[in-house]
Amino acid sequence: MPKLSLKSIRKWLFNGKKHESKAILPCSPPVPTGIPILSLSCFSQLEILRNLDFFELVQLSLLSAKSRAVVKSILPKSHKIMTINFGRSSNTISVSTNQHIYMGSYEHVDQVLDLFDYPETVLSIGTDRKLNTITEFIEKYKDCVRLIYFTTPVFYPDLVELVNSVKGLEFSMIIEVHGEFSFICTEFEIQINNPHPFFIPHIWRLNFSIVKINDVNLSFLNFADWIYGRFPSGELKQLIVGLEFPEDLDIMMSDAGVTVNNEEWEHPVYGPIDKSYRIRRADNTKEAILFEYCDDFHEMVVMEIESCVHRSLIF
Amino acid sequence: MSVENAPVVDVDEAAIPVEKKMYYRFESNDKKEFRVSELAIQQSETLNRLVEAMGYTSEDVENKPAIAIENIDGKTLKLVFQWCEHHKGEAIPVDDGSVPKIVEIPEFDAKLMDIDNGLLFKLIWAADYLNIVQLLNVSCKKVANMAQGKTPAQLRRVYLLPSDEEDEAAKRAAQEAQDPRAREVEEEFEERKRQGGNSFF
Repeated sequence: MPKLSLKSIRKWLFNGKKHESKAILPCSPPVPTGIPILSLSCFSQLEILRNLDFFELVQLSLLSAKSRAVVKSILPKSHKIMTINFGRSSNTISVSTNQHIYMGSYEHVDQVLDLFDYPETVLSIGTDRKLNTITEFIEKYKDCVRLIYFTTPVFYPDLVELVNSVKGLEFSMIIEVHGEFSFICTEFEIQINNPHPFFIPHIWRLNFSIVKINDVNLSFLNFADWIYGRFPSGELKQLIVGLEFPEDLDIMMSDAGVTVNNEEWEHPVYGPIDKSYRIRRADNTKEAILFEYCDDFHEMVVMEIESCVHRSLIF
Repeated sequence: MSVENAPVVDVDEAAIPVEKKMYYRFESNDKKEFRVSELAIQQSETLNRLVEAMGYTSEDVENKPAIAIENIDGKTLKLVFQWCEHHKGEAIPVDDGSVPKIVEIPEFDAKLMDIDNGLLFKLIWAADYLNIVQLLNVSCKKVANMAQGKTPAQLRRVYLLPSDEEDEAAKRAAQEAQDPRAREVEEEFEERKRQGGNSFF
């Protein structure tokens, strides 16, 4: 019987060639690594997909147009509202519906929205993210975005820029950290509720025809400055101030030396107005009529601004 | 009850249970015969309706040929009947349509499905074909569990899913494969027409 040595074993293993591990040792046939689910019946395919969680379904939907269509077909269409949380990191988001949560990359947000047929969407935003990303998102998904929810303080000049850049779209905005401070934007007007004091100076930079401000008082708005002819020369045509508590406009105007017009006239919206005031910008480019109006619940001051060259105001 | 103890037996093993209950005989496509209790068959809607429609008596079951299941091999059918015997008498679950579906794999089923992917694929196929709702549930759940923690690229490998490009290439190949035959048929048709025949057949 030949003596076994390491040399003889190596010779047997490598057939005399060093460092060549050719198929000398028996090896098992390759084990199939996967299951060809597309070869199963449609019913079985759907049963498998229905056992996947939402994260796995989204992952699967990213593989091909066909896989996206299949995933889309099994997701319930009952989701009316989806929340997208823009995380602190610049490229991560979490998406939640009443049943599903997905945490992943921002680059997949379109696929996720598509899976649910672009439902009404709430954006929940931390300020670490650049607002231009949010602006792009709102512009791209203007038919979906209904509410923008800031969970941390916002830099107000940026906020005005954001609102101006998406003007014409209908959505609401809540700045949670400042209590009830919120915006409701429609095509032509913006309604501001409970504005934060630091936001007040920025109101006049809003490029909207109609601005409604609720729950403030006139002194809060630096209204005296307006009365002295410093109201803005921008797009603003109508400012409606819903007073937090009743204020005496007469005393304020009288102190400013503005004379009252007691001649009654008919406003197309507010009906008969029996007392109004007329003010003019220092550069004579704009004129405004001010009057008080009371509906069943609120006392308001309405200011209508017109260009002097286009129309002479009613008096 | 363990997988080994499940009362599915091959006829030639002479281990026929001596019970008064009726045992139906089935034959796989590779000619393996199985005896399955009446109660176990109720787990399969397809087989249950089949045996109901046949209206076999105890004598018929013994004397007539085994019912052939031509689409399923013996190895797969053995697993199917083992599962049915183990779960006989259990209520068939009703689907509530939820996504994700809530399915738990019992220990017996987990052991039964501790098989290679090829056989698991056949088991799903058989469960679907024989309409065994709960077996389909657990086997699909097992396949779904393979996706846990996988990246899209890994999912592609696990489920052998083609990319858009591969889908497109396969579609083109299928069209190309079909066109020559269509051309052949057309040419043959034209030839026959030239020879004076009115009908292609």
